[in-house]
Parts: sequence; C-alpha cells; structure tokens
Amino acid sequence: MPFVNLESSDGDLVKVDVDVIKCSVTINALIEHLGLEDDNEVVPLQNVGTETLHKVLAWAKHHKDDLPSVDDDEDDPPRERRTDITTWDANFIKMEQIQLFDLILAANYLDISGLLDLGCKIVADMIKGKTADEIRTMFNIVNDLTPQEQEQIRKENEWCEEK
Amino acid sequence: MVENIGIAGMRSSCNTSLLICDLEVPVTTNSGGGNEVVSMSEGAVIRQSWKQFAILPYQDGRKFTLGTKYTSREEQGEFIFLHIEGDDDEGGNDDKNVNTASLVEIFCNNGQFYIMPNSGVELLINNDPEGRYRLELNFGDRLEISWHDEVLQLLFKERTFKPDNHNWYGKRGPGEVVPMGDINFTPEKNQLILSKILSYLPLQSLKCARLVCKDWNEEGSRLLRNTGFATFNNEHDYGNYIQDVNASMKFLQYMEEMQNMPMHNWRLYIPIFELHPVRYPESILDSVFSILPHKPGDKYVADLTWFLHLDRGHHIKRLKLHGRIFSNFDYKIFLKVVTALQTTLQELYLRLYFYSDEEYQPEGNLHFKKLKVFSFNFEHNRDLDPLNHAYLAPWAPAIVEAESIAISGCPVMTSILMKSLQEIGPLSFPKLTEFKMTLFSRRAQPSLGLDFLLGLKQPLNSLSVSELLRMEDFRKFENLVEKNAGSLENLVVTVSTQVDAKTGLKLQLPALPKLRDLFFDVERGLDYDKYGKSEAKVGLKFPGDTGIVKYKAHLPSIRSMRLFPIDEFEDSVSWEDCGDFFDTFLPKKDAASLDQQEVCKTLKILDIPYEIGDKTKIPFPRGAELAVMFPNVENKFMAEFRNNHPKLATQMGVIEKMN
Repeated sequence: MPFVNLESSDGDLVKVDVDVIKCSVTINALIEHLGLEDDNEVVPLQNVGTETLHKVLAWAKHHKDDLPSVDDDEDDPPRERRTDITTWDANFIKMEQIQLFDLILAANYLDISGLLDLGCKIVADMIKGKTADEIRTMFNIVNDLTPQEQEQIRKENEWCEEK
Repeated sequence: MVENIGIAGMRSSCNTSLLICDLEVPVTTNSGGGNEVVSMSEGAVIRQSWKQFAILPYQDGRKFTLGTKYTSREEQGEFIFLHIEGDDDEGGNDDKNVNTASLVEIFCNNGQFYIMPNSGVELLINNDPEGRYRLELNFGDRLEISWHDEVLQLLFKERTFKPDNHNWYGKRGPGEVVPMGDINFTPEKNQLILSKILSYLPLQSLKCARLVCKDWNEEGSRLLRNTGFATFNNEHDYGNYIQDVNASMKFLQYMEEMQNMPMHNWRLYIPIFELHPVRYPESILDSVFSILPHKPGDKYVADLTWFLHLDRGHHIKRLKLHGRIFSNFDYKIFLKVVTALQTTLQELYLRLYFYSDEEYQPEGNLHFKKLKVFSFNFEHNRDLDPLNHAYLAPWAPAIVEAESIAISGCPVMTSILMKSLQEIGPLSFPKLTEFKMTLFSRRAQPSLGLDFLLGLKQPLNSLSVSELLRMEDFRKFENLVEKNAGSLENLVVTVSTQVDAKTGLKLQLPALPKLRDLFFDVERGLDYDKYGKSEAKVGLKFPGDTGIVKYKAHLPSIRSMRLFPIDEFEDSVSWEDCGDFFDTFLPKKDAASLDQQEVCKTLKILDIPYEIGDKTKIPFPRGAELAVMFPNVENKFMAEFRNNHPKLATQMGVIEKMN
C-alpha cells in the first residue's frame, strides 16, 4: 500500500496511506504531479496546521470506504438536499469554533467536498434562525448596506416563497 | 349605502423612487359597520374581516385609476377595482353624468402621490371639509369617496414589511451569539465557502442572511432567485378564500420590485374567467371574473398579456401552474401562459382541475425545447363525462425533450396522456431517464405507461410506479426492471392487493448494482368499504434459491430503503401478517447463528414499521440483529436496539471484521 508524507504548515511530517487521503483532490493532483516512486517524497501543505491536518486525516480515514457522493445542486432547496449528519460526523465536528473554521478552510484548500460540506452544514446550523444583526456580531461583519438597499432586499424577500 | 373601505399607506422610510401604498378594497357589499365585509356564498351570509389591499408601486408620472369599470390601460393607467358594477351597466356613465368607471385618479410625481376625483365624485380627506381641494396624498390619510348614493372609505398607508425573522419554525442556532473575536474566518471573503454555507440555510434564514452585508446579499440573492418561488395568487385567504379582483396588480408590482432580481421560478394560480352556467351559478364569482368588457377578468387577461410579453425578458426555469378549468376560455389562458414561457422552461408542474364537459379546442404550437422535468396532474370532476379529450393532444409531442416525466391524476386523463406518449413512440423521447406514475384507482391503467417505458431505447435511472393492480402490470414491471437493472438508481413501487394480487404475489427483482433507493409499499386497503380488505401477502424476491437479498451481490450501492408490506397502524396487525417479507431484507427468523447474517454498510436510511399497532406498538422482533446488520442506519429505534443489546453489537463487530 503506497504512502505519502504530508508536511503541515508547522513543519511536521505525517505519513499517510494514499488510499485514505484520496478524497482530497488537491493532494491527488500533487501526488500525480510529484510522482510516487519514492516513499520519502514530501507533499507540502502550506495552509494546513498540524492539529488541523490530523483532524482531516481522522475524518478521511473514517470515510475512506464511502461510496462516491451524489452531487447536490446548490440550486435545489435545502430540504431536498442531503442535509443529514451521521452520529460519527456529529461527534467528530464537536470542536471549538476556531478549530471548526480552520477545518473548513483546510477542507476547502485540500478540496475535500465531503468534509467541506460537513463544516458548512454546521456553520449553517449556527446561522439558522438568527437575525442579520446577530450574524454580523458572530462574524465581525460590518453592515455596508444602505437603508435603501435594505428596503429593496426586504421587498425582494417578500417575493420569495418556499417551493 | 355606505361602504367602509380602508386604504392604508405611508411614505417610504427612505427616499427611493418607489413609494408604495396598501389599498384595502372590499369586493362585496358591506355589512354596514366596522371593518367587515359580508359576502354571499352558497346562499349563506359569511362575515369576514377584510384586509384586501393593492400595492401601488411608485414611479414618476404613473397614474392609477380607482373605479368600478376597467376600460383600457391607455385611458386609465393602472386600474384598481373599488367596486364591481352589474352587467347591465356597461357604459360607465349614467344619467347623473358621473363617470363611475373612473372615480378617482392617483398620480405619482416628484416622490409624492396626488389624488384627483373625477367629475361628479366627492372626495373627503380625513373628514376635513376644508381639505376637499387638497390634492396631495399623504400616508395615513383616510379618504371618503362619494358618488350617487354610494360611499367608499379608504385608508392610504405606507407599505410595511414583515419582521426579517418572522415565521421562523425551525430551531435557532445553538446557544447565544458569540462574537468571533480575533478568529480569522470571514466566509464572505471566500465565495465557495459562503455559497456552500448559505446553500444549507432554509429559505427564511437565507432572507435574513441577505441583510448582513453586500457580499452576503449578492450570494444570498443568487441562491434565492434560483430556489425560491415568486407566487402569483388570485385569491386571498381570510379563513375562506375569496377572489382578489385586483390580483393582476401583482404583475406590475413584480416588474417594479424584482427588476434587479428576476426570479427563475414562478408559481401561478390562474383565476376562473368564465363560469359554467349550469354547475356554478354563484353570482359572486360570476360577477368577479367573467370576461366581459370592463370586468376584472378582462383586465386580468390584459395585464397577463402585458406581463408575459417578450419584452419583459423573463427567464423562467421552473413553473408551477395551478388552475380550475371551467371553459374553453380558461384553458386558452392556461395555454397562453405555458406558451409564452416555453422557450426557457426546464421544469413544468401542471396541476389543473377540470370542472366542465366542454369539448376544448386543441391548441398547437407547444414545444418545450429545454424542458427537463414535466409533471402532469389533471383531475376531472367525476360527475362529468367528457366526450372529447383532444385538448390533451398537444402535450405529448411538446415534451419529447423531457428527462423526467411524472403523471398523476384522474385515470381517464392519465390514460389518454400515456396513450398519446405511446402513439408518438418511446423513441421520440431520447432523453427520458426518470418516470413516475402515481395512479390510485381501480380504473387506472398503469400498463399503458409500462408499455411505453419498455419501448425506450435508453436505460432508465429512476422508476416510480404506484400502483400495480393486474397480472399484466406485474409482469411488465418485472420485465422493465430486468431491462434496466444495470442503470436503475431509484426504484419505487406500490402494489395493490385489490385486483389480481388478492391471493398473494412475489415480484422478481434482478441484481441492481446501481440502486441507491428502494421504496416498496403494499396497498391493501384502498376502497375498504366497496371491496373489502385484502390479507394477501406480497413480497419481493431476488436471484437465488431462497429469494433473499444478498446486499453485496444484489444491492451493493443501496443507501435507503422504505419497506411497508402491511398497514402498520392497526392494532389487529401482527408481525406474522408480514409473512416472510422481511426475511428477504432483514435478519431472518430462522437464522442459525449471527455469522450467517450479512452486514450492509452502505445503507444509511431504513424506513420500516419498526413497531406495529396504534396502541400495542409491538417492536420488530429481531431489533438487535437489525441494528447490527445495518451499522450505518441511525434513528431512534436503531439506537434503542443497540443500547439494549450492546454485547450483540460487539459480537457482530467481530463477525464483520472477520468478513
């Protein structure tokens, strides 16, 4: 079974079964680019810290036998999309917000759609039911909408109903 | 007679070019006191609170006419019915030289609404005799309009919006709002992440998210215009639904308000225009929508034509069209809508109810070149026996590009549609890979649809058949599944035991390597009273001596199963009534040891009657084995089974490892 050495942004090396990390489009592309003839080959991951990398690998190991996911269409209403989270994933994703967001960024960088979806579902769950003010407070976002723009949004919102 | 009418309006909170007001208009005669309207319905007097209104989108130079008769857009601008005159008075003028067609006119100019009564009409603003010559219209003004012996009271007010997080039924996010502090996570800086997060929000939350900032609004509006539906109703819900005579004002309002966010999805309820003279003589409906010059129906058609004009630039992908067809005219309007939008439509959902036995004239020129999904639900009044269904003829050739077709509704109409699909020929539908047929009637003919599908050249991905009745249906279904065994990803089948399966049945299924979803139901009790309840046992069998499914060989990709061979809601039912059905899919009764039991790790959702009986609630007898057989199925029943038998689960874990 081939292995690959991943180097975190902290400089730590982690040896990983290629079969485990095949879910990452980014790493697959790097492996292909670098070749896999030498087990000592190192794949640098400049945007992923050691702690986050271990979490990514834990998730990837658990899901390595998963069947390919069905592509969800973002244009489909959320209720029709697969929004279910398994117990294992729910337990896995219980972490501090800072770790969660690092994980999402890592999943995005490594192009692991299943993990990115999981993280985004959790953040969406944090946002559900909150007002715009509360969301801004959560994410330190400055409101750059004018009152006129907000009124226009409210008008448009009244036109949008459930499927 | 005095009619208390309210117009409600206020100045816009910001100085946009769009000022809006709400106009409350009674459709019927007033009871004489308070804000109530009395309407007649089937001879009974029903008191209703009235809150009808019309929104007047502000635009410099625009004119609104409030009156009793619609004449033309050129003459009246945007017209709003305040009162409906009788059919015998078509001219709009009378011997008192009062033009009741147009009572007052409202103009928009420089951010201000102005009002002007027509000759012979008295206008009193805020009950102030001194103000009778005032032309400016301010939010909060109460208007009294008098002519002849009629008096209308209106309230002009600013439009208000619902609270941003109104109607929130889902749970709120966990815990209090915790500021992120120094955490460097700004979803709006990463379009992909923000887009993914917002895509998992329910609609109401997505609306709130748009108000966060410009970046969130941009992404949120993109999602919302693709997933939400703009709805054009023709009725108001005040406990009872009543027709909205000014329903077509919504077209103008949409054009004004949604020009920067044109929706891709519409839901349109078409009003009734001409009523059947015998079956539906109620004068109230007749007076509201019949197509005569100056009537609301006439104006609705004119506004609809204007709205659907090519110049409006609509790009509608999904259309849900609802209506009740009483006449040829109604059907023509319905066709007018689909024809106008047919070039861009990707999904078309029709839900029509036919009340008339008129022989509708067939219409041509229907062809949906981009259509992917077509859903047809035509119901018909059972008392009527239409002689001619030629009006269904244009539909089959119009939908040949469809990838997915769903047919449901009355057996006569669905049969005619399926026959016409067959006449055109399955080879004319080269993209069709999903088919759904929902027919719940002994008069239904599912074999027509199955014949059509058997003739398709390309493989089917999804097949849903409810419900199979006769032996020929069963055999054709088996052949169809066999033919598409290599491609089917979704299979839904309901079998009725009311006709040829009265003594039981086993349907043969092949190995289905791509099948992800399998839903199987038995309908044993339809028309109980008429035909009695069947106790027949119906099941499925797979290749092999035992007929039992071997998941790795037969269903290696299965993700979800719904299996309901019995009516689980009755206390009289026992697990024995299921026969050996569940042995095919679930842990067997006579399994000698656990190591004979297969483990299916792909299944995530298992929907079965985990317990049966309304009150007795007898659980599935081999729950522990079930939980182990499907280790990735998680629900409260499975959790209970696992908690009650932890040792068994561990033992199975060892067996699984050995496997």
